[in-house]
Amino acid sequence: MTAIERMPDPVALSPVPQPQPPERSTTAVLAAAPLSAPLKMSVHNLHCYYSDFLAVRNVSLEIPEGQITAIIGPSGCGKSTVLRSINRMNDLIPGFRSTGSIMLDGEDLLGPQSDAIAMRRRVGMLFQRPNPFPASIFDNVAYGLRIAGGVPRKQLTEIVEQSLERAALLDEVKDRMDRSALGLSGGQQQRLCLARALAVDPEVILMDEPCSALDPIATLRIEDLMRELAGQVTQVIVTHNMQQAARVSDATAFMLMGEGRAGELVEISPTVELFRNPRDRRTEDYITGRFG
Amino acid sequence: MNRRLRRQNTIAIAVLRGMVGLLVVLLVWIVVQLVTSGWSELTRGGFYTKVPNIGGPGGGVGPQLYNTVYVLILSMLFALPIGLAGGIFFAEYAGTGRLTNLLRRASETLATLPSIVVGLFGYALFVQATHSHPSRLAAALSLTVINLPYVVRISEDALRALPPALREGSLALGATRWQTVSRVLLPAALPALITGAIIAAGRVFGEAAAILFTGSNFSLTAHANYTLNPLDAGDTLAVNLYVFRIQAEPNVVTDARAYADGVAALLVMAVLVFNVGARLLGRAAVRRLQRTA
Repeated sequence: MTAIERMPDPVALSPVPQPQPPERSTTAVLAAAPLSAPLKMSVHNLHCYYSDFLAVRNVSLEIPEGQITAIIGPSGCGKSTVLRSINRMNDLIPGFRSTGSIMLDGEDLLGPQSDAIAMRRRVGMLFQRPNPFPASIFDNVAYGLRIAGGVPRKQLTEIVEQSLERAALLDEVKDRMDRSALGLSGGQQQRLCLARALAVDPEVILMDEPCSALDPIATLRIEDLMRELAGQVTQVIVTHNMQQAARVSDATAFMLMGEGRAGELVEISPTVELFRNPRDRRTEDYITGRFG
Repeated sequence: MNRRLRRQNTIAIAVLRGMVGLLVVLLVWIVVQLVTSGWSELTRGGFYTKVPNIGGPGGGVGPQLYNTVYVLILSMLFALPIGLAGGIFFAEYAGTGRLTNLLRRASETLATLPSIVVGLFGYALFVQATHSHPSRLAAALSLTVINLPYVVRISEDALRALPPALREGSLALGATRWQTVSRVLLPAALPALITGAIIAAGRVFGEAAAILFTGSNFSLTAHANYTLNPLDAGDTLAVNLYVFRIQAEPNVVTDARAYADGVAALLVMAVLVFNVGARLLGRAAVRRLQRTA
């Protein structure tokens, strides 16, 4: 791996991974607050149906740029459905349809002219279980670039290494890039999937309970990475783990099953506020463990 | 557990074991019978290379072996791409509409046709309607009709057996459906596809009825046809077995019985090798895919 030994010219690196100051103080995050950041995405009056079943009723959300927005709530409250509607992964499910609008930089992703393929290059996703392809570590990370095409071989290697570096995996895999990704541990696999998503330089990353298959140490590594990526990438994370939402997110949305088992948004607030001082009685009941 | 339930359980296990045992005994008995009676031919020098010797002993099945491999490869050249395309269509594109059901039903019906019917159909279509004569090409096309639904099925099953997370992972990175199929799903399904393709080839290897009228010239004398022309006729091993056993007059082929025993043993061994080889190759492909060392 001579490419690693030879330090590339830092000016030539396109998405420079700037080391974030270890700013973990929640009050500081709150001070920087969702209100001041420009909006990256917004969801308006989203209704989702699986055939005749209304799974999500009238959800509206605002997702500020560069921040981490968490969606929490009990099982079956529709939080994953909302997340997977954003990059239209639900379109793969027969019988699924949705109404409302999801705006990304002022463009409606649910609109008739919207191009799901092009949009998914801007909006990446991390899944519940790590899902590396049965191919080499290198080929996994290079996949998104190769399908998009037009990246010369030398640059491909550079971007793959940068992406692995951003996902804090490079040191562990740099001397076995050509081995199967399936030989990595679960935590490593999930970081590989993060590197794979980062390689196409997405503006948004959606995470669907990304740590639910990982042990606590691997979970903390992913959470650290999320904080490091905040500011560079807009992140939306669905989690059933309230502590996780409290640890990593800037804003938290709470969803609950409403009438007819349709998921509804109860409230969305800056994370510290939601956990310290919930506006809605149902939020308070949930975070204090009084039901669920 | 009370006594009645326990006895029920014991009986059920005994019956199941007996059935499976019967199956194994039957298989072993058939293989042993065929191989022992054909052993002297199988081990005789020249059996695999010489041409049949009419009017005397000591010939071989060289041309038949050649024709079998020729027709097998030719028919797989048709069946694999078409069948794979069908499998990909059903697994990845077709959805659940009424048309899909109709197509699927058609494919399954094709699979249940008796091979002699396919053979006669092949004769009518590939030989009579084209005003030609039985040929390797006509035989290979008839075998394709036999094998196509099977190849469609194994391709579809191989793709469906993959975890949906692979598909989603690829699409979520902005891949098109076709990129997902060609770059992620097909490579991941390769072990199952290899296994299935070899087993399909094994079926073709032993098929006789479908090519009795389409590929054979029933000639015991015009044998030395190691030609490349697909329009030449060519008896395969399985067809030859039939010809030797049923048609040949004992005074024309003096050791027709020995030939037939040898050919039968060869067919059985070959099909066994195909099946075992398919499993081994499939397993090797999985290991290669997950190679971590």
